Amino acid sequence: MAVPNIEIRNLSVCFETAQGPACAVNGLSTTFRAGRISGVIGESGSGKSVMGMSLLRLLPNTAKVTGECFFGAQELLTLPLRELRKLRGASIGLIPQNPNASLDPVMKIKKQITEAITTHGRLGKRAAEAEAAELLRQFGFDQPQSILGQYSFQMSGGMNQRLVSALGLACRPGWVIADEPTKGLDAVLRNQVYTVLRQIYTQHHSSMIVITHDLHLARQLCDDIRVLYMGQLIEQDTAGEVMERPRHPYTAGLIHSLPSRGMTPIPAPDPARLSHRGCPFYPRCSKAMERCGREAPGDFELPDGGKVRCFLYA
Amino acid sequence: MPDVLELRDVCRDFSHGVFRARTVHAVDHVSFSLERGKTFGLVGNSGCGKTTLSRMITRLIRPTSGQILFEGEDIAALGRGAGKAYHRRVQMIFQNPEASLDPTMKVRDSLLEAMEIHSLGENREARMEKIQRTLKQVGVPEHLLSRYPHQVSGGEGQRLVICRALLLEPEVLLLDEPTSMLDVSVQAHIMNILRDLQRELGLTYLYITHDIELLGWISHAIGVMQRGKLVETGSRDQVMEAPRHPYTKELFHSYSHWEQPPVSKRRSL
Repeated sequence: MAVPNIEIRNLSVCFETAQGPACAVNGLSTTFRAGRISGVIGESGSGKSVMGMSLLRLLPNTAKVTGECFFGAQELLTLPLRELRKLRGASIGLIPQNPNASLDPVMKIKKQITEAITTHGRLGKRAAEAEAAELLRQFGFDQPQSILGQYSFQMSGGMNQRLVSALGLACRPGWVIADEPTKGLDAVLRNQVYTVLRQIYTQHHSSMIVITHDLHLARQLCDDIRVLYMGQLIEQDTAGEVMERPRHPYTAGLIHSLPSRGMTPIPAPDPARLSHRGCPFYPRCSKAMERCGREAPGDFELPDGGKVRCFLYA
Repeated sequence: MPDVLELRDVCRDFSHGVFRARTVHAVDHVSFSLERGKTFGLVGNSGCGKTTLSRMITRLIRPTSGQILFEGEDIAALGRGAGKAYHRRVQMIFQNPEASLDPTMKVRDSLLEAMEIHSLGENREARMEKIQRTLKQVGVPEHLLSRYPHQVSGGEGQRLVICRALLLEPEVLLLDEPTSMLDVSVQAHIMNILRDLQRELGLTYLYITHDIELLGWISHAIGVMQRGKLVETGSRDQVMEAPRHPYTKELFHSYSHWEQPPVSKRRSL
């Protein structure tokens, strides 16, 4: 069976707060195409993780989610929970953020991985154990048997990160959502995770959504990149275009903040521009025009097929 | 001018297991020195002993053997008064700003307390005036003073921590991954502040990181640690451009891999 695309239509996720509703994702529409690695980048608070979690309905009940998310013909946001559970892990795997909190501290690694495999009835217990060991070997553990007999608290942060990655892929899902897979890893381990994700992509033809603020990872791993700012999709294009020729001033600012690209921070918001009804980036934008404070830009198509939400490209 | 801080053959072991029978050499015969007004970048993978080393320099733990000299004096032998002065002159900035500020105290009180402990400033007015001046240096608006640590963002929190350190007029800052929890744009801001402060105030930095890009940007000299040992030291250019130790080569190789554009040509959207 062919792996379907993931299509998001007009997704908004809002949380009620004492100061009124706060929207983490704001009317987002996009299609993640099967067979590709799609990167989602943006700063903390831009809504990228919330977007990923809402696809699998893993947000707390306080989140008000509106819009539609199609996985082939199935609409994920209204799908009965029983049906959704069949998809989670088996069709759409998740590599969560914060591995230390995602692993069960009182369950041995072996139980956690084999449980994931047997729950979806793919393999028997014996075969699942062998599979678990093989999986760990792929993720750079030289002695999987000894790791399987241990608990997550006996591992370092980097090891736990690789363990949750292994867990997310345990059922060989067609789609994988990886939320900050390289957070807190040093250069060597980051390379390892990159290699593993790349390997999974080429060997198992998994489609991926990689949520990250590691711009180098996005550049190396992804086919295309989407940039989120304050819950809106402001730019999308191939990874090469976004990183080498960023169009939106925010994307350009983000890339120029990298030490190797000048280490120039994005300016702080201009207090005089704070109240406006236009583009969300208007208060911090160095290329802002008078129009930007009055009306919000729509998506403008670029000649090469990319899209950017900025009047500079109108 | 003599070096500000010098480590001579410093070791630190940790014993664990039944009867403390197993020993880990977290820091193993490490020697280097910090030149005044310059940045010494210490790089190595997770668990290589970087943080243990910085904890010894701040006198949070004692070395098993070896000496740490501050302006030629062994810090283990400092008396009460000199010890307190040492803690003022050598300040530490940790990774997580929220964990560095007391969650039950307003930011203003955290900043004031640090100055009061070291009897800096004549009275509250003088201290507040100094706080206001220092806040400007690190680019933090004054209204954050009446907030609690959980009410400020990560970048603001880290700037407040730097501000608190500066209030004590330190000479050495130990920076242990100060930007690893922050976004790149905020990181760029903090790093620029740190570099400007060094030029203005002649501060000496020990910068601990595993981010090679940042290391190259801020360091004058670099030390590379592997499993508790300092395997290579030298000037920035020497270590970055002509690494000699195989481990250093591997470390920089895995980094330069990221900087180059990917090999395969990508398909268009």
